[in-house]
Amino acid sequence: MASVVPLKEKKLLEVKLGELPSWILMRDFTPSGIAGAFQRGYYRYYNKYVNVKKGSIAGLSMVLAAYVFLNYCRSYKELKHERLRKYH
Amino acid sequence: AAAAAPSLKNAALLRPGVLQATRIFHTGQPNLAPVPPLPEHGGKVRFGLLPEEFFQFLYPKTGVTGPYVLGTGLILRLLSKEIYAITPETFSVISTIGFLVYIVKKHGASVGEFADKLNEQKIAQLEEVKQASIKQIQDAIDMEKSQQALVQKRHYLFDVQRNNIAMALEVTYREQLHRVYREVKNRLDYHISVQNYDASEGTRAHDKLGGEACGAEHLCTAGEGNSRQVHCRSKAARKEGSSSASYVNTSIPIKTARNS
Repeated sequence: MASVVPLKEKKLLEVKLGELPSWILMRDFTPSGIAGAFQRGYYRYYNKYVNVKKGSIAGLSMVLAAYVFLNYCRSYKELKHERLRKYH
Repeated sequence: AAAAAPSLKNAALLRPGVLQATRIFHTGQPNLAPVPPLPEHGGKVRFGLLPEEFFQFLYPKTGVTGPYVLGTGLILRLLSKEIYAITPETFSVISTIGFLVYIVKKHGASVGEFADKLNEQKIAQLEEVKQASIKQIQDAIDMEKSQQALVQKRHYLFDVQRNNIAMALEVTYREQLHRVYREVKNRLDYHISVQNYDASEGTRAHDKLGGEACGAEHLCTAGEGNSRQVHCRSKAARKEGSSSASYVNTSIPIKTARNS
């Protein structure tokens, strides 16, 4: 059956590859839309891992790990000089 | 239908028969009027870093060991290509992370229990307030119900009052009846004693005359108004009951006796 749901309301994982450009263009890129996207993402993570009765360290450790990873990526240019060998 | 299918992708309106109205759009706001309780546990995470969904995502293709092999390969590639370089900082990182992991493994559970206890205290406090409020309202409901039940029994009160009034009316009627009897009897007695006195005028002694005079005196103690005396006398009669010893309170004005 051909999909009967309009393209606008599909989630990203349900969008077919051919429809991807039109889906991306369809998204809301106004400032309020982007702020809304950040808000949604934050609350999605928060409600899944932090705002529970018996939370674990994972809620916090994943955020710290992501922060470490981002900082490493940012400072890779300076860290390149501390390599032990030049050619790999 | 086949011709209409490709155009449905970009159609703005949907046919009402299609089961689309119940689909919850992921940009919509779900309506949570009674707030649902918090979930017990958060999303499952392995090694504290990788969410379980990643492992489930790879499971159909690679089985259980897939993500682990992927992880090992990635780490070895990072090290061999020196995307991650081993520096003196690496050792401090290893010791710091090892220390943190040790602390979390050792004391994580007790910290969790402490937080749970704090939570439970808060919830118990709120629950207490809620229970007190419920109890108060329940007491008010019960009192209201009992008062309503009392209202239902008001007819007993009315019955008693009606009975009292009926009895009072009966008593008044009987007392007045008795008074009528007494008055009539008194007038007849007067006439009889007058006849007797006339019949035996010569033979009557003076003390009998005194007795008759006393009787006449009593007959004359009527007083002024008929009704007022009747009212006062009838009250006294009600107090004493309908005893026959109340001849003294007979109020026959001498005028009516003379007139009849």
